[in-house]
Amino acid sequence: MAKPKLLVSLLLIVVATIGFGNAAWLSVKAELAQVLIKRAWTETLQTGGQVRPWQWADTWPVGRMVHPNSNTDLYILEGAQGNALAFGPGRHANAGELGSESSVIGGHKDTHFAFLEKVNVGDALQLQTLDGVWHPYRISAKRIVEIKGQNLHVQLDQKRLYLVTCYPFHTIPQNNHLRLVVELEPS
Amino acid sequence: MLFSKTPKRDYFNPPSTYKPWFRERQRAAQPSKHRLLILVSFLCFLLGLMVSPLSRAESGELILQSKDGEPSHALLHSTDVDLQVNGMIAHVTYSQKFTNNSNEWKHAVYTFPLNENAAINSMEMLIGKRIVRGKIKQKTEAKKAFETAKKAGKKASLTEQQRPNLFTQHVANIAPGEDITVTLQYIQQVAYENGEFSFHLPTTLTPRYIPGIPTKDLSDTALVEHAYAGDSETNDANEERRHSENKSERGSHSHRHITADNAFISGWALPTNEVSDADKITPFMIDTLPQNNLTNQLTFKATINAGLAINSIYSKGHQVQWHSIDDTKYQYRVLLDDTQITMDRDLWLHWSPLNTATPQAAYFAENVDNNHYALVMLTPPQVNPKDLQDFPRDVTFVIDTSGSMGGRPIEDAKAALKLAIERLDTKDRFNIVAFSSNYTKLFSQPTNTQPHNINTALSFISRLNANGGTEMADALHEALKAEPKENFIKQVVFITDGAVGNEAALFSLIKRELGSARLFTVGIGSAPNSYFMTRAAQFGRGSYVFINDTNNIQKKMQRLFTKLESPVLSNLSLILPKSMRINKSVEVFPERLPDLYAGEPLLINFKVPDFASIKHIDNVKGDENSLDNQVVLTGTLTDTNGNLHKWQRSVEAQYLTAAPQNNGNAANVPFVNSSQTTGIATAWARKKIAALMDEKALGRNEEDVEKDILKVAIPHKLITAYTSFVAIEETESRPESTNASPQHVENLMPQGMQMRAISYPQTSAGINQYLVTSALSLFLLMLLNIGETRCYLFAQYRIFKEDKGITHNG
Repeated sequence: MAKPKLLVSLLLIVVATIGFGNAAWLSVKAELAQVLIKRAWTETLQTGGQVRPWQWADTWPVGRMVHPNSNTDLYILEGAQGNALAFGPGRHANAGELGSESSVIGGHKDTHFAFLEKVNVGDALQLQTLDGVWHPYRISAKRIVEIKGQNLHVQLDQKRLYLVTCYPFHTIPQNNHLRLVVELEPS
Repeated sequence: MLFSKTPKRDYFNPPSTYKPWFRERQRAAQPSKHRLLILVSFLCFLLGLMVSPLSRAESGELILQSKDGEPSHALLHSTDVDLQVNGMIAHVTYSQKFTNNSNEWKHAVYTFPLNENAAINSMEMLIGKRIVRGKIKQKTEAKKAFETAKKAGKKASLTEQQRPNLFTQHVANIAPGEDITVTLQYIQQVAYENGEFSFHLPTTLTPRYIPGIPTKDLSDTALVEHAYAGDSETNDANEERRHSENKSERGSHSHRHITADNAFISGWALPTNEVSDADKITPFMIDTLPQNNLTNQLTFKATINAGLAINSIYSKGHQVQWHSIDDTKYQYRVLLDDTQITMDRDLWLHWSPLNTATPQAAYFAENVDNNHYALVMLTPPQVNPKDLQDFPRDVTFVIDTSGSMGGRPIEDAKAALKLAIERLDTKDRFNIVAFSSNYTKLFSQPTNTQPHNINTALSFISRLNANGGTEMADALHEALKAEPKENFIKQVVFITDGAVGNEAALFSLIKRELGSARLFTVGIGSAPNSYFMTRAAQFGRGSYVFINDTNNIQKKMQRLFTKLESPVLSNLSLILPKSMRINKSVEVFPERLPDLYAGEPLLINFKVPDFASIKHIDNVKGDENSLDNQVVLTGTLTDTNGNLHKWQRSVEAQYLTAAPQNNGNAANVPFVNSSQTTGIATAWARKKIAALMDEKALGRNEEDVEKDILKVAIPHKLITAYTSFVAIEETESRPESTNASPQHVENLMPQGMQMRAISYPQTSAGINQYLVTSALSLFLLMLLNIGETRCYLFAQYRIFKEDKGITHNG
């Protein structure tokens, strides 16, 4: 008779532990990885090649961006898929090159791109590309889009930067079909 | 302290810690057996929640559009165009078919382009075999009627004008699997230049650049977008009122009618302080890909009744076949080689008469309700430019290097500019202004055409590439402000795709700063904004050419050079027949005669009201003034010696005194001597509306303009900026229990443009989800063991108290 209750309690404890653990792990991973990526980025700037932040990583830093108003300093990884986004904002591989063409950067709303909630149109943002050059950008628009049946259309040869994250910021379900698109133009 | 005590207690009395646990169980186990079951199932649910994001993360978090289950084309669209040309008037039957390819009810929204001269005067909706005729109404009224019908579940359609060359088609309540066709009829004046007629049909648009600062902040957008994402039916009145208040606060620049239709954002741009209807002129675009060839297809056929023998009919960019129709004279049928063409570039149809039949003058007339309407074409004399006095020129080339020019357009623009530079005369001076978000000047001052300057220019041109915004105003200002040297003719050649949303502001800038200069526009790309091109050239008292195909840059630029290099025919004056002159209320458009360039005819639309009374006077006077029955155009030419030569052209007015012939036998009537031609009245009304809109662009009070436009538009049944067509079916077809969602019909990206569609990444790590799950399970744990928790907490509290006591005592 004692068993079921004990079992349930234990399971609940396990669930709570895993849950908190995961949440903590995601946040820690996101933060810690940036430290490793920072090292890789420094090396990238010196050598100019692809430097993996850790040996088994399937992504590498391709840029750095600084948003002074919110004290944000982020390293951008190659690829906007789950594997890269867990460690840092990722450059969408289908879009253009950073700094010279229209590029799209995705980031998790609850870790790296949480700062997008507070950015304003007109804010300055600096982007450093592989060649070490800093490109000044300014936020020209923020818009919320419905992604069902829609793609983000970018004009490749325009020097634009699109930061994409999930919207709204504080909701529980992981899947939703709204995105916040922050559009930046060179300033 | 606390730690030092606790283990001690455990050693002293080990079973006591477990005792409550058992005791509690014995008391609670029996009645809560089912409660446990519920808890277990809840636990399973929580576990499921936990596991799902984990498994997803493994498979990669990029969710592709196609995997979403939603078909990418919920609404298919195709257009059928049936063109009937009668002399200089094209009657177009333009049918848009919307097919609901989903299993939900849909409202279609389609922003489509037409030629800037199109005068839409009929709209009907075809549902199966039922036809619902559209009524012309004031824009706000029409919108209101449409929204009411949409909510009530009635099928309805609404055609609105956003720009003279950009319209929006709304169709409400299309049932799953159903087709609804909206047929528009419009009149368009055929263009005639260099002995060649042409008809222009745009099929898509170049995404427009929207200058200015967004006037809506993000919270507004979010609300609006939510309405769009969820159920569009919720059209909160309060919200709208708030919008309208915001708008009116912003003052003069905002449109007064914009507020009524904020149900959802219909475009990719937000309204800005410079373009308050930005979202309505920026429809969503898709790439022209093989999988998209189900939608945006055009079928086209034409019958040309030119009234004269035709030498050739052709279309650059599309393959056409033509033949004369049996048993008729001067009637031709034109078909496209392909049954369907993709709507990714403008369609141009050109036809030229046999050399012997090239018309010099024409008078087309229509009598409606006792009013006489006429369209007169007069071609100035053909002269050899070498026989005329010419002045050295001071040419500023302005080239658009904005992002929308990316791909083939910028290459075409550069090629055209190079041609123009190489062709400059030794005594000319020139400069180049390249602009996108900012502008750069090649030289600080216009410079002579020494070879080294030309070389500098050519290398400057080859370095240009397209990116950034389209901030035209500053570049135009820069080009127009430079004072020309004495005796130099100042010309500005503006090479662009015209993809901007603030046309009116630019027109007023051109008008204000033009001075003695002349502005010529060169339209680039597969779908340039022809409204901007032609009207900018009109305000700039210059002319325009379109380069829509890489293969005809040379030919089109040659045409522009002829215009640039031959002196303009100015000092024109027009004399109407006496019988019309005495009527003070004759309205002639254009009100001020334009300057004519080589190969251009003068086209005049005029209206003589109360024509019966005039005719009466005319008849009394009899034949004696038949000589005065002419519309006469006079002007002067200056030859190389500086001598003035007068010239004149005239055409006899056709009063149509006989009963109007509508027998359709027009084919046998010679070109010049035409009978009643339908559409002339509509063409005149369209010209008048355009003239009124120009007044508005130049700063006339909008309310007055609106009043004047309504006076013309309602009787002529024309769609304008202030009037729309709305058709509503009486019966309600959508059951109240079902919802309908709005669906955009996307336009195809113009051919040759560079653009890429990016699927949105999955951008949530799911931390909130984990946190909530854990918090929930902790809460449940507490609930389940509420007794123990209480005891434990109480015990802890007691120990703590005791410890405190001990510390104090000690």
